[in-house]
This record gives sequence, structure tokens and C-alpha cells, in this order.
Amino acid sequence: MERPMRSALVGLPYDALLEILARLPARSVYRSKCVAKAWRDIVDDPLNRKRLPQTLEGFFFLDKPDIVSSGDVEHFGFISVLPRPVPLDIDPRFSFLTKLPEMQNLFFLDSCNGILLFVHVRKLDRLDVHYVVCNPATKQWEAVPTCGCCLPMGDCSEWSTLLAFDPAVSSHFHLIHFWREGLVLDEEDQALEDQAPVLSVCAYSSGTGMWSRRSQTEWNSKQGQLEGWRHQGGKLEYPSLSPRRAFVNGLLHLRVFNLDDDKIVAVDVQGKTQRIIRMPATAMGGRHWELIGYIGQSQGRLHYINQCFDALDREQRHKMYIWVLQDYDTQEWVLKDTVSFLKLFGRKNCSFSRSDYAVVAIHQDCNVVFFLQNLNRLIAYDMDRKEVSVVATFENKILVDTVAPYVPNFTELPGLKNKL
Amino acid sequence: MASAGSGDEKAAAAAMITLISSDNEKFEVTEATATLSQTIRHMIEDGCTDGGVPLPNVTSKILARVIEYCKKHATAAAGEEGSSSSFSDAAFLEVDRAFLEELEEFDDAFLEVDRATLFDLILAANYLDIKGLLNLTCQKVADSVKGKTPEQIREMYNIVNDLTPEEEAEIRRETQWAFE
Repeated sequence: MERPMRSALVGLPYDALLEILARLPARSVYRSKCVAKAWRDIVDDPLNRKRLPQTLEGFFFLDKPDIVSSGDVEHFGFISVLPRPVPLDIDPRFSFLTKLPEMQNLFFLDSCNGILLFVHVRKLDRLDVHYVVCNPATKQWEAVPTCGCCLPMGDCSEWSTLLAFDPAVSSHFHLIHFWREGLVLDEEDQALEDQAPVLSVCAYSSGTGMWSRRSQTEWNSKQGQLEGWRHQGGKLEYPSLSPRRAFVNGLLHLRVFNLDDDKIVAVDVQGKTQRIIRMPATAMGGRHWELIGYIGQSQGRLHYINQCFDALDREQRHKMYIWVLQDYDTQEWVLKDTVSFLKLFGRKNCSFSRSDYAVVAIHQDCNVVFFLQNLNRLIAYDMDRKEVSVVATFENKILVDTVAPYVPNFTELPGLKNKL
Repeated sequence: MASAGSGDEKAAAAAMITLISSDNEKFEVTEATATLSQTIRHMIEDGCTDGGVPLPNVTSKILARVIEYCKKHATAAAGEEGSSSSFSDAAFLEVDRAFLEELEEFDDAFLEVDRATLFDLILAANYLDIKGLLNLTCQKVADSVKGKTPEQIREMYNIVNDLTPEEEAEIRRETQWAFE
């Protein structure tokens, strides 16, 4: 392809302008398309996708979830939210995987920064289970064995396997697997009664190709306070399906319920708890929130979105509260915005537990939140403009935890060794 | 016979490269300095540096700055390589940190130039393929552009908007999320 020698930035060549744009955050890059033709053309050029930062492209979602429960292959759809002059070749059927004869039942588990995690179960042997991690943008994939501690979809009753990947930190991905162990044995292999079941954790690194398990003996109430939540009845939201989580600052942030209160725990890619963050509700004192709140990452900061169901003031019950963790170190939550259900959904009284709505995602580069209304309408709310718009309407009911925000990653990753 | 001596002299002479700017000024630099430029490294490898390397795209004013950058960074690179064996780990780290700090200060001061010079440096770094210098200068421009509106960017860099109003409106509609 012939590249124009000179650009409009006072004679800067194409390559130099590309070098400059490659150093900007996604939002600045897209905004700069308005500067001049040369800028627009560089951003739009498919050849530059690898170099320029990417942003929210759209959402994968599980279509026809009823079919899946009857044991057929999962059926995905894709909703695009980013107009492009040259559309991306996105195949929501994942045919680069599903056309392989060895691939049978793929179940979506999680997605993180452009790569997706499935669990693969053979039709004839439900115990023949492994993970498949893939990058739809490069059609690369990798099969990962299970940790051997407990089989997902098999003997594990409560489990979660999460994908942690941040190309800015490492080109390798990690899997973090949590599962509940009912019995805790002491040194003599005697079951300790009156002890809450432990949430165990192990982690896989595509760098080493190995699973490592966090030792159970390292914890007692005096040492390892941070791990306490796993030993004191801590529960993840949505066990067995991707819980609400956000990967920020190289740490996976998860909402957990404990016996005493709710909190966010930050675990590193080895599965080690590094930090416990209190919820803004606690910080506000006394207010109670809907059980399942949303946590996500936008513009590098952790966000928490929820409704307050027992506010004394009636009006306050009919609103969404959007919080941002303004200062990560001092755990300072700031109320960023509130918006009424009336404005969002045209109804004053809405509830998450009645499936009136669910928060699907917060845009990673701007102040836009996506909601699923009545399980069949995707709605975008722009905090800056106070605007609500309908992104898509679905024919079938959508399960909120199978809607995966997708930011493409066009680089070939060393951890994904197979390519179609 | 003086063959051994003349051989050494030859080696020493071969380690110096002459760079010739567009306005015909000659700069003598060591090979270590010159090879920070991938373009010149390839010319040396191909053996076409006899009689000097003409750089018709680079003025003497800019070439002097580029050489200043390369000298500093070539020294730093040599220092890092050489020091590892002669210091204990702690001392090495100390020296390493001092080096890096000094280099950072040098880079900051190096970038204190007017916009025209900055662009000329980018052009030279691009032409000579000096990765570090291209990084440094492009990052400086990127930092100045970050968070700015298209109007501010055009004003800052005297860029003529050659988009039609329709084209611009279309981009704004499509990328509304990127604007505050």
C-alpha cells in the first residue's frame, strides 16, 4: 500500500505521526481524527490496528441460552458499538475454533482485554474437560488443562475461573480458579467442625504453562490477614459463572460477600490476595445496596454501580449510583453520578432482582455505562451528556453474565500457540 | 616493520565516522555514537561510509543536536555494559540509578527546544532510524496533544483542517464518546 509521504502536521511523515498517535490513549486517538484528513486516515487504516490503542468494539453475547442448557453448542452473537469505515471481521460463531473436529461443547466463561476464556467439554465424556483461551482478532487459541483440583462443570459445585490479561503489563495471560472446599482438615487429617468452608484458589500462567496452588496451611487468623476472606465464609458473586470483576493495576478485583460485610478483594495473577477494599456503601454509613452491584474499570479507575434499596428518602431508591475509586491508596470513593430509573428505563421503580435491569459494562475510555433492560434491550447511558440511548434490542432473552465487552487486541500473543 | 602500528591506526581511524550535513558541514563521530542510528549502522555494515556519510535531509544545526544525543546515550550504554563486572551488585545498582537519573535529566533538557526544532528532530530521528530519539521526541508531541480538542491541536501546530464540514460532522457523530 502506497503511504502518503507527508502529513498535515507541518510536514511530519506518516510514520512519525503514527508514532505520536501510538503514544496516546484511545480517547485522544479517536478525537484526533477530527484534526485533519491525514490524522483520520492514519486512525482508520486497518494496517495500523496493531500499533494504535483499541477501545470498546462491542459485546459478545450468548444468544439462545435455552439451547445450551439442553447440551448443544453455545450460540454467540455480536453487537458493535464502534462505527468503522473498514468493519472488523468478527465471527461470533468462533468458527476458527468450532470447525476443528476436536472442539465439541464450548461454554463461555470470561473475557479480559480482548481475549476470551471457554471451557471445553467432550460430548462423550463429561469428565474430559479443559479450557480454551482464544483471541478472536488474531484467531489464535490455546488449550489449557484444568488444575486438577476440581473439574469445572464436573465435581465442583461452586467455582469460578477468571481470565487475567493486560497487554500493557505482560503478553502472557493467567487463569485464576476459585472453588469451595467443604471440609477443612487439620494436621491429623481430622475434619475441623464449626469451620466455614474454604474458598481455595489456584492460578495458571501461560508463561510457565503451569498451575500453582496457594497453600492452605499458610493462613491462620494472625498471619495472612488478607487471605482471611477465603477462610471465613467469603463467597464470590455468581459462583460458577463469571462474577463481577475488574482487572485494574495488574490486580483482579472481585466482589465478595463475607459473613460480616461486603468488600472488594484484589488478587494478583498468582491468586494471592493483595488488598481488601471496602465498599462505598460502608463508607457512606448505614445505607444498604442491592445485593449484586457492578464493579468495572474505566479510565484506569475502579467503578462501582448499584442501587440503594433502603434509603429513607423514597426518591433515592429509584436511582443508580455510580461511584469511582478516586484514590486507590486511600480507598477514597467519590460519587460520580446518579441517574433515575425513570430516565434510564422509563419506569420509576426498577429492581435488579426482578431482572428489570442489569449493569453490563462501563466503557473503559469514557463515562458511558451499558445496561441490559428486561434481558432484551441494551441501553447506553452517557454521564457527561446525561443522555440515554438504545444500542440494540435482542430477539431472545439474554443472560447478563454472558454479555462480554470486547476490546480487540491485534497482537499475536506468545501464550496462544495455535492459529488457524 | 611498522605494519602492526599502522594496523592499529587503521582500526582507530575506522572507528571514526564522518557525517556530512545538508549544508556540507562535517562531523567526526565514533562508530559507537554513529551506530545508534540503524540507518548508519547498515551503511557501515555494507562498507559504504568511506569518504563520509552524506545526510542530505539533515541540517548542521539539527545534526549537531542529534550527535549530542547519540554521544550521551552511547556513553550511557557503554557504561552500563562495562560496569557490571567491576562493581558489586549494590554498587552496580547505585551507579545504574545514577546513570539513569543523569540520562533522564539530559533528555529533559534536550527537549527544551522550540516546536520547529522538535519536528526537525523527529524527522531526523525517523530518517536516521534512532529509536530512542524517536521515542523521546514523539512522546513529547504526544504529551502536548493528549486531552486537547481537535481545534486546540490545529491551533497549536498550525494544521490546516482539510476535512469537509460533512466529513468532520460524520467523525464527530461516530466518535461522540471520545469528546467530553
